[in-house]
Amino acid sequence: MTSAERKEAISAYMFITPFLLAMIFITGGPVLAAFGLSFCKWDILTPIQFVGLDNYKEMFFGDPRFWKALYNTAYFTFLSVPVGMVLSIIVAMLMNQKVKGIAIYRTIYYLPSVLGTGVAVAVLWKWIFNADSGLLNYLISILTGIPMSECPKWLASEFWSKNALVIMSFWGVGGGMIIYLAGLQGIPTTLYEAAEIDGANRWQQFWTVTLPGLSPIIFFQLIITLVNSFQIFNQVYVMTDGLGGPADSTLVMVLYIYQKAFKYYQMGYASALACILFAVILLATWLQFKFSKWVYYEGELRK
Amino acid sequence: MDSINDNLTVSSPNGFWASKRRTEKITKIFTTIVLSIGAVSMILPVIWMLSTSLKTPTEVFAVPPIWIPHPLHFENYPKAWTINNMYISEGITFTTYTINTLIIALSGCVGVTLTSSLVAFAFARLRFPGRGPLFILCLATMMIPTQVTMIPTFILFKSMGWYDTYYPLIVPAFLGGGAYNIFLMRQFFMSIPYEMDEAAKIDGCTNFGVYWRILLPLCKPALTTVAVFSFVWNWNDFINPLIYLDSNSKKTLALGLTNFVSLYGQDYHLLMAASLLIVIPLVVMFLMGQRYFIQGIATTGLK
Amino acid sequence: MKNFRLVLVAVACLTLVAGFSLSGCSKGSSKLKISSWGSPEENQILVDLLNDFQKKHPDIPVELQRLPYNEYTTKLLTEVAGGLAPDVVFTEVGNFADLFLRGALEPLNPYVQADHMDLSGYYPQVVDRFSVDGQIYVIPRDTAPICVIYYNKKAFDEAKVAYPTDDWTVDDFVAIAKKVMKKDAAGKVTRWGFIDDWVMPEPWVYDFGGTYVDDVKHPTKWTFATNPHTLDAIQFRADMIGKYKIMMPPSGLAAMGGMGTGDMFMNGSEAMFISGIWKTPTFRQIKDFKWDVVMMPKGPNGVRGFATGGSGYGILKSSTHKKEAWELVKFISGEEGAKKLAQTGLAQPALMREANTTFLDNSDPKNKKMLLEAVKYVKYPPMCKNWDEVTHSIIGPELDKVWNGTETAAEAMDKLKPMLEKNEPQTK
Repeated sequence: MTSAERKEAISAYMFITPFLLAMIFITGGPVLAAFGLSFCKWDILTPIQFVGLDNYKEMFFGDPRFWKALYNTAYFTFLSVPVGMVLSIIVAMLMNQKVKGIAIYRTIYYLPSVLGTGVAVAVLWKWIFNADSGLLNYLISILTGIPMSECPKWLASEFWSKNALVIMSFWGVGGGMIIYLAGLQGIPTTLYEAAEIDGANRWQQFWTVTLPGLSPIIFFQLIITLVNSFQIFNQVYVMTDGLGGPADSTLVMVLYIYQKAFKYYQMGYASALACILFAVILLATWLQFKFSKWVYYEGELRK
Repeated sequence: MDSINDNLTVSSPNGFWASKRRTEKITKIFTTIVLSIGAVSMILPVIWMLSTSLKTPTEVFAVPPIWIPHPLHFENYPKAWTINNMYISEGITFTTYTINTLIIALSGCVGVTLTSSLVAFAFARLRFPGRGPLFILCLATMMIPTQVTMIPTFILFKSMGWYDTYYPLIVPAFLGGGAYNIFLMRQFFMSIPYEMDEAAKIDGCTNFGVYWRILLPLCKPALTTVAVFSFVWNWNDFINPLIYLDSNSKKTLALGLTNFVSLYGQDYHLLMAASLLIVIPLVVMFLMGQRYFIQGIATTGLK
Repeated sequence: MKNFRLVLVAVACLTLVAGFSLSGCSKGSSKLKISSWGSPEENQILVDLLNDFQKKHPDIPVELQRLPYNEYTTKLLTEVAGGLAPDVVFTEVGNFADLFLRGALEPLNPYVQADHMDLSGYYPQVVDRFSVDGQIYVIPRDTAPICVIYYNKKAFDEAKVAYPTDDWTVDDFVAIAKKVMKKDAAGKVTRWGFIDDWVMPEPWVYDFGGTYVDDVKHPTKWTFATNPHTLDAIQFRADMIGKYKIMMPPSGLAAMGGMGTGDMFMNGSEAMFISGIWKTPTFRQIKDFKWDVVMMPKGPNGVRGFATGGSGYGILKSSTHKKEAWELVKFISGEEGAKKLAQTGLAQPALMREANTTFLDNSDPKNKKMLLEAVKYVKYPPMCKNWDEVTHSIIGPELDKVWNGTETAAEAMDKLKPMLEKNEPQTK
């Protein structure tokens, strides 16, 4: 290591000091504790018992709900992430134009994300998805002529309930929109000018300038929405009163973890579930990084 | 969508479509129409909340839905605001909660904006041993459901004497602000050409100089994003204040909202009124601040 | 570099100051802490009671922690793990079992005996619920049989149907429910005959003479899937939806948790619905609304049984102020609290004298006196650790299919049998 390299390394460690402090003093301990608990039985009220691999054995060989939860989570993720990604890019592109009242539009699109997932929002969404008198079926029947009684039963149907959650997640495109909007500002206007001189139309500009320029942000959004979708909880919790019904059709991993930990007093088992979920998400993220050649970094660190 | 117009521009021999200004105008009209359709679907739920907040209990779930109640019960708003009067002997009202929430959200906002970019800069721009593993570690912290780390974290904070203080809610923000923000800032830094740094270094800038004088100004949209997200998140956060705060005088708006909810029944009209009141500051803030999302390179005059 | 170091130092200092200099600020809680949930009215009662208690015992400072019902256990468990558990806990019949079976509750017999407290004033059934092997763990506040069928008098008047009486049977109930329904020109139901407050099979199971376990106090096996009466009850609830079409199907319930059923009752979209007496304060607020209550109809086997809630106050074993905690429990579950509770109409006090007097005042619902009779038939959930898990995670999801009409009750029971055998009631 040359002295310049050493100097750079030292200054780098100073830059990441806050993160290191957080790891050591805040995040690290509890994460290790959760990992350790996954080998124990603990109902919180009585002392911890070490049980070895029992939780994992039970999970893989004796717990159909675990598989069900894993399936539901994957279903939600693979449906909501791609569509949500595309939607928010489109919205951001449209929002990046100088149209009258654009500030209002941006605010309106972000509004559902600001509302959070409190009780009021739960009431709201339950009403929207109510099969017999809800807003969604009302609109569907007006637009398509299908009588409301034949519209999807949404939250009451084993098949539609997961899809209702997917649809609901699209109301969150406002968050992605903001990130993309911010990303779009980082693309130098000179690149567009150059493309225009080369005779590229706007569609071609989008493919050759906008998308590559935005790719680090798209990559970020992909990882984050993936991580978040695998951990979907609040929406399901409020929409199904913490049950994941009907017939476990919306039982997702984190909801199951929550039930085990705080409803059924099985903290150890919940931790084991969390460790498996962690492994799944880590694997998915690692795959994303492995296949991230398409991401174009202007400022990539040279080796 | 633009492609349609552009193709027409190319294919139309003369006249109407050939004019670039017209094309732009049509693009704008098209954008406005698409955005408006989206905006309606985004705002309908909020309008229902608004309408519900002005109803009497019997009107809330009337079939068919009542959109404009007669008369409008504006008195629901003051009523919702004063529902906490049971604690008035302790001097606690919704105003107390608002101030508390502001303290937490603002501190969190400052902390995240300051430290996430610091850490991200090192990950994006500096070479140091352990950079890869540390970054993976950082991302990994996002992948463990908080449900299982909550109790260990609680024990940790409690042993530090932080129970019933704002520290558990604020301090993590000053320690990098979590993987999400660090990752986001890193992606933004990495999309900025490396030549910028080198030029600055030749001019004698230190690493900190590069970070502070060159990259941060270029990342204003990203910083704004991080600030807004963290503010909104803290504003709506429910579970952390619930776990870490104890005194009524320290509680936040999200906790105050649960005062409407009970096992036995809910005053939905008041709940909606209070929920909307609580969101207003966020909307106003966003409406005023949204232009910073599109204020990046264009105004700082790069290139 | 200078600038950079300055900022870093500043940030580090900030966090360090935040982190450590104030660690001394943690208040060693010398206050007696009581945790509770409840509606604003209910909470107000407790706040008033605590104020009175403070006047009587200025030497025992009390702190009330009011929590949202849904997060009550989450917060309680976190506090227990962190060594900050409350001294006095509000508990209902379900989570009483959860806490008791894990040894978290202080036995109260010694305190009762030392104070010569007379428990005979409380409903014996309720005292019995909160006692195990002769030892009492919770002093009851109220009892809440879920046998209260609220009915909208206007709906009955419009249909020219006589108001129901407490001696009606399930057959009468179905016939009446059909009559009080209303449809619009297109055949769409605008008023349902009946709805339950949330997806509640329990009241029907007990009403039909069905069971969940062999022995509520000391369960050894589930009888839910093998008891023919239980099967009949489940099929009956499914028939109300699919066959008699008097009950709103799950798709119509604004949510699966029964959100808004009370509101629908108030706006006339349902003629009858079943719940506990706790809906009373809400309905009393509505002007020009005529309603009353009637006892749940008698099941086909001629027996009565009512799924029952109810709550009370217990002391956690971990408390370091048990003596003071006892003073508080004694005070808030006493006459004054019972009187206030009865006045709101929210609950039937566990103290018989208050239930027989204050509770029976002239306010709506007029027929609430039937609860004095109903309390004789209370049925409680079994005392086992996995009751919640089995009902919500095994039985519940299977029954969802029955309510949706994709499975018959008999089919569901066949599927449930092996699952219930595998998950025996846990009492240890």
